[in-house]
Amino acid sequence: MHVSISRRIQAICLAAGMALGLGSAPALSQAGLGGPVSLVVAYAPGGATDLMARTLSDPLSAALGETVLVENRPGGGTIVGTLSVLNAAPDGRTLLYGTNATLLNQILRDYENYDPVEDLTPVAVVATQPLAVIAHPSLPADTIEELVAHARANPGAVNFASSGNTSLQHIAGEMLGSVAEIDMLHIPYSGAGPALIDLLAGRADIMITSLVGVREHIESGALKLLATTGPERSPSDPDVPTVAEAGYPGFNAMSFQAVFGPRDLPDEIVAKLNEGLRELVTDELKASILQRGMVLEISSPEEMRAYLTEQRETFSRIISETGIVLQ
Amino acid sequence: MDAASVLLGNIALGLGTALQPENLFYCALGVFLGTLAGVIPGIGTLAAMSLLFPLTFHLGPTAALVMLAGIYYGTTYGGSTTSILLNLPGTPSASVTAIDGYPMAQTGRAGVALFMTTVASFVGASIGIMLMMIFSPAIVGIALQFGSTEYFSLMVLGLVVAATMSADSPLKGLSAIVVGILFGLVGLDIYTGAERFTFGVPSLFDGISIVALAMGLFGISEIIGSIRSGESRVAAIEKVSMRSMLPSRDDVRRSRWPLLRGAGVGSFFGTLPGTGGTIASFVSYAIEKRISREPERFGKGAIEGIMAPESSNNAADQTAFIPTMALGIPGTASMAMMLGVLMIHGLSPGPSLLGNQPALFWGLIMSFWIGNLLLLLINIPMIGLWVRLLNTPYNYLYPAILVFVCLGTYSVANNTIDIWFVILFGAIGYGARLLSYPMPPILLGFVLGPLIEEHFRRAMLYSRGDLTTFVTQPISATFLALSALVLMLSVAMWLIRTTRHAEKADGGTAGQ
Amino acid sequence: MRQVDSSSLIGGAIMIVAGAGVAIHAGTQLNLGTLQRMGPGLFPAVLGLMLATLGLLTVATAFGQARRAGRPEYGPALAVLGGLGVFALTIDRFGLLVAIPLLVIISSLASRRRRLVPLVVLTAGLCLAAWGIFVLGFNLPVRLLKWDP
Repeated sequence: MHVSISRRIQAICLAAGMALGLGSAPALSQAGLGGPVSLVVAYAPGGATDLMARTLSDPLSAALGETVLVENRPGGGTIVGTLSVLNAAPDGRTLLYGTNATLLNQILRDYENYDPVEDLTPVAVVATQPLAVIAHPSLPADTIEELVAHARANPGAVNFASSGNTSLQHIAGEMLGSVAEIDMLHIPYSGAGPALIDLLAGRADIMITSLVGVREHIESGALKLLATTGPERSPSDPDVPTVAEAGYPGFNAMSFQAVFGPRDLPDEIVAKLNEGLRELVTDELKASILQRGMVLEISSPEEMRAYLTEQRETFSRIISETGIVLQ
Repeated sequence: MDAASVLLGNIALGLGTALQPENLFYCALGVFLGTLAGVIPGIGTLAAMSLLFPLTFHLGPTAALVMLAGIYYGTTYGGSTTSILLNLPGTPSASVTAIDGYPMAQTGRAGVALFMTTVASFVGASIGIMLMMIFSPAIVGIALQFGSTEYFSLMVLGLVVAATMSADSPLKGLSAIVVGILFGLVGLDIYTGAERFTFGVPSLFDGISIVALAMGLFGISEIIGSIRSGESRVAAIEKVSMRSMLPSRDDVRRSRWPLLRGAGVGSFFGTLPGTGGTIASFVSYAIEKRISREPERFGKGAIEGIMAPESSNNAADQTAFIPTMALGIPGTASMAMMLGVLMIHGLSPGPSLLGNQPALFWGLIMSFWIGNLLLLLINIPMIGLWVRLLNTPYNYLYPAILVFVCLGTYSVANNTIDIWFVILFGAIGYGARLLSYPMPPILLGFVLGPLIEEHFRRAMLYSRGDLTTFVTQPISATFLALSALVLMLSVAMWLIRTTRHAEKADGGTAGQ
Repeated sequence: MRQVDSSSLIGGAIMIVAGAGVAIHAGTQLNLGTLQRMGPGLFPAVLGLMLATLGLLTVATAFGQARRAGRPEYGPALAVLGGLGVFALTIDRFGLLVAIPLLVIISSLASRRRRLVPLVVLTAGLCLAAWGIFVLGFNLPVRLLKWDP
């Protein structure tokens, strides 16, 4: 009895193995990519990037005709996930859902010398989001100009909180300090949540962060919004000036999310994936993502390459100017 | 009177929402999956939640939240099961339950232990929910009062209280804490980005996985130690009747106060974002041991030692929702996922959620209660099944455990490095066992150490290097004064004990 | 003959070496910083010194106590840790259906009661359970079989 059940189990086990593991190896059709697609997120589940990737995975599955699974490969400040995609087979079935950190970490940490713009294959920028300079009401400044004047009068007195050392929030703060020639004390946190709590409590003075989840605190007066950080005014806050308008033209700190392919991903697969990403955009999805503060807009691969090159140039300049050096 | 009727109205509204068939179904699904994820070592809350996350797009926001929340607190329920039966903590916070739960199982009281932890979980969670309903706005105020200075002093208090957990050899206990802290420091320094003890391995930049550490130290070392002894001992055949599960009158008497104290401690820690259930269960265990008249029973199957931490971590799970829901700021990744669900449905989490979406808010809270009731119903009939697991011959049981440990740890980050860490910590744990070093303090140090450093350094940044900040801030000063008091008390007690021993010894010699 | 607690002697010695090693590494390789801006090395350096001191005290109190270190069982330790190691080496290269049987077989070598048929049944059952729970149930990206040595 025992034996017969176990044999049957073994048979099922093996059959299943054939169906799932081996059967997926050869390409099935020309239309699809020949099997399930892993969309690698270089963070643990639950973060903003992960949630966005999971939001897109269902419509992307439909658009590509293949199951798209989100795979979390955290570690190394995104380097582990990035490398796992960089060195994957260039068949379009392993993709990276990357962010600013994909560029930043490589610049900061010359580990395993690779070039995130040249070596990874750009597929499409998916979403962008301007950040905002927000402050605790006790800070005697309602505009960037007043902030600069206050910080100049009290050098080193302004505490600026960020979601972490070398995060985009940190870099954006250093950028502001650098262009406005002010000296602020950077206080890193592990994540935006704890930093926001200290900002709400008034321990930190300012923070440059996404407006998601913060808007209500601004409306209630618990926090104040000084400026947004994009090249133009944010479509969601047209009345709020940008940092650039305050006399620092060219100031631009946007967070982005983008799909990257492995090294040497052939053009026709890039085109197919880009097409799939464009197909998933609906007005409804756009609106729901705008609610989360992000603008969903699929770029072409060429636009993405240009964008990445420009972003990297800015980041490198700020990093070398402000001397954010990792020991 | 007004407040009471408002509260009653809210409860009615919440019950009405939570009892709608759709919400009820997803609540049941959530708690069931949560229990499963808790029982399987390594599959944590996050893995289970991200599995069901895509489903939340197609559900209403209330059903989606109710389901994810069910997974969240269900995991904590399930986590204690394997701790008690196999010394294999399914979740990090359950490793405290193993200290006394596993000895209970070995002396044939697995049924009682499982039954009582289920009760403790339910009572702890209920108390947490109650506090959440009544004091929600006030508690948010408290959370905002806690800056790094206060956190640091609180952690010091936690460490001082817990340092006494291993009374056998205080030196070895303290060494274990320090070793744990050092393991906790592996990774990138959050203030400078410098690599510490990473040996250039990028997978180590984010630190050692707590799952790998707990699995290796407790589970693997236990298996190595019991392969030979486990085979020679005839499986402790337990009668699995309802009767054998029921606690004795003595058990109930001993459990009452630890249960309530645990819930209180847990509720407090839950409201502080980023501390969570693990610290809460350690602290409440340490408190029980410290105030017990017979501290020597702890670690050998004392029922107080499972009641306090279980009630504590479940209470913390519930009150952790307060800062998340009321401020719209997540304390943990699991909470971030729940806020993500709200945003997907176009609701902005924040202070006005309670006012704008009362049905959702109170529905969620009441669903916690229903979910906990469902957990009670799911778990009690399962106890018999679990206890029978112990009757499986050990030579078949342990390879199976190893398979689940491997898959569970691997699946956390899809990285084999975590399995290598299970191996490393298995070896360390086995060595510690042979040299009689206690293991729970290693885990406590691992959890608390990095937090202590983070908050100390941030407090120094804010105070511009002024150490007096810890005594000039009232909350922090209070915690430090309490720590000093606890320390002095324990030194005094130790002195009294040793002099008594000395007197006894003197008496003995005189008699010879 | 004086009694010595060998567990404290060995344990204390390990702590001294580990603590000193950590303190030296932190003190020389990492920046210690100032009190306002503490460097990454300060905390570990202090802890390393603490650990070494605790180790010294442990060694000092080892004398005059009767306790002994436990006797290590090398067979079970080797089989269990080795089995886990082989699993770690094979899971990414050959998939679950290779890694699980190897783990079960190697770790079972430690047991004195080894019988083929139950072992095969166990292996098959575990493969099926792993597939059901991790692949079907939790939808985790692990392959059952693959070839990527």
